[in-house]
Amino acid sequence: MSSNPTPAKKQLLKIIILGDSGVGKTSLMHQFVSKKFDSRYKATIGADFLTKELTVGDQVVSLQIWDTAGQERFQSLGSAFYRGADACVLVYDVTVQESFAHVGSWMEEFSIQAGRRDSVLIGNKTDLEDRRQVPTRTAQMWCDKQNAEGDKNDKTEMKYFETSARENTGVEEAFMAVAAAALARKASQPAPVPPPSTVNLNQNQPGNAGGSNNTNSGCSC
Amino acid sequence: MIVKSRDKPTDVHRRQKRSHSTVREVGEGASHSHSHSPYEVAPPRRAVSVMASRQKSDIAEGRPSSKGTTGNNSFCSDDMSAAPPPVGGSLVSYFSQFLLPENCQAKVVDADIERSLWSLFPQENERNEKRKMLKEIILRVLAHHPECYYYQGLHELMGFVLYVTYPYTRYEKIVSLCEQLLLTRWWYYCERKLSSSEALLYAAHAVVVEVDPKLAAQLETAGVGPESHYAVSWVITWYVHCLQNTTVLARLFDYFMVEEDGLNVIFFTAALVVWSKETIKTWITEAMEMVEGDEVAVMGIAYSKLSGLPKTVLEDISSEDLEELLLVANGYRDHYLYIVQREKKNFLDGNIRKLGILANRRTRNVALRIIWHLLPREWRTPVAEGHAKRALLISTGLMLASTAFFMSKKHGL
Repeated sequence: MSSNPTPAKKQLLKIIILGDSGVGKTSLMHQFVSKKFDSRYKATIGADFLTKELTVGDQVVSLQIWDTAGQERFQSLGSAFYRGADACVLVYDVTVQESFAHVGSWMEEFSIQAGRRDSVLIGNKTDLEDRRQVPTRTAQMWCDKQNAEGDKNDKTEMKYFETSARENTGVEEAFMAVAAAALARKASQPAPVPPPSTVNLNQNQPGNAGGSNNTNSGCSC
Repeated sequence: MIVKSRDKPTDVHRRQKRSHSTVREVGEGASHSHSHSPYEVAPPRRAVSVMASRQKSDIAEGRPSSKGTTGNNSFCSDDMSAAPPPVGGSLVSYFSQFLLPENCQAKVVDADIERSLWSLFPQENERNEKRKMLKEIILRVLAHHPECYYYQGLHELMGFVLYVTYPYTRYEKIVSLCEQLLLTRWWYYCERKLSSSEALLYAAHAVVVEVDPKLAAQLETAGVGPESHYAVSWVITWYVHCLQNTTVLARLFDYFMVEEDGLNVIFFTAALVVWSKETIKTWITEAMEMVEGDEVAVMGIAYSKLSGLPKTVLEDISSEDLEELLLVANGYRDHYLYIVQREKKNFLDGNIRKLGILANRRTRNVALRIIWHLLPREWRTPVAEGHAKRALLISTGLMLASTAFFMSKKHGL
């Protein structure tokens, strides 16, 4: 009898939600995690945090979602929250042109603090269609431009979604997309080598870790 | 407040007795202070100490918590003529965002006001009316003080002051009161950058380090030292953001306002953390077990738990326990005021004492990782027996070299 296969280790993904004040970051997070919309949310101060377990393909993922404050002055707190982030969700309000104009600076700030990561752009509040200021095409073109301009050696992708946290449309799809992108990126990277407590400077034989590519030259290059 | 004096006089009460004034005194002084720096303003000697007793009297007389606009409270009968606030129409409101100075951040204020006062004014009509008043107060005060910048959280502070004082106090006096508070107790938070607020968080942690170094070490190990800013919403909103119990909030406001330097909230925050140390230690231990030491996950869980600490501890706290907690906070003030001032200064000067790159676990690990990846590949293999001593010496040397490097960078050498 063969024993049961070892269950795949749960993968932790850290996602940061960024965007201007009042675009609906907290509502999106709560709608995705709790399937609830409450119009009585307060402004986020500092950051809030929720987790959700989900399955992406056959991998169980624990999604750690950080909801950040939208006011620019709180960006200085960002480094504490961005550390170790696997992806980010950029949010703007389709009824506020200015919130879309700021998306670039949010992305830049995130990239500076956490490095380039996969991300999704969300145009929220599509239930207020009659007040829309940002056409879908404009946002989609912005994403295409970001994808085209990305580093060829470190390709990241930005997908665009339109959502209504109030009516729960598009929310699940957007978060699942960012989770899948982050998971794929994580899976494609080698597992991080834990920092050693000591190093061996007197070893004649290169270790087995190098495999057949290792040479005896002693040169690391 | 008159937080009624207790049978046993305490430092807190002595302070309050020492500095005795009224809302009216605070309000009347406000409009003459525009051109002065915060500490040149004649300080309100006892702040809004009527808050807790107002709460108590409302409850005792069965008045609705929102107080309505028709209440006839003899407590402040001379202030009862609450003038309706000048509220701009929608057109004025629209153009205000272009006319107001940058520090007012009219759009952010709009977004925050729309999401404010939910629990303080449950009735929609009343809430909308108070939101207009609140917006007017915020913008009026900030428009007169371009050196003060709106920050998310100020609306909660001023909203609570409005809740407690209106309609017992005239509208114009409330504006002056908020102005005075902004220029004295709240001025740390409304600077252009957040650094003064961050400095206060580091100072609060410094107090925890002094009182309970083990707890402080556990917090840092879990990634929720001061740099995680778990307490930022507690401090910059004076706990209004985290609590709904208005009686507790009113008592806290009294305590926070007693001292002109506005640092009481820091000592109270440190006291709250130390007071809850067993709970916090349990949270951190459980988090570490749950995620097998994954630093990012531990930090997230610990942060989430910690940011809810005020609600856990204070929402239903008895008045006796609250007074005891305030006594502890006041004891910290007596003993550690110099530490708070020193750490605040250190932070603002860029000298963070307890978070050197090698003193902090996470920053140390980052530094080690960088060094590790700079090493030739064959050096990264496991240590053979017999060479451990030499390797240890070399790694120690590398650490010292990196420390020297970062220190020289820091001091511009």
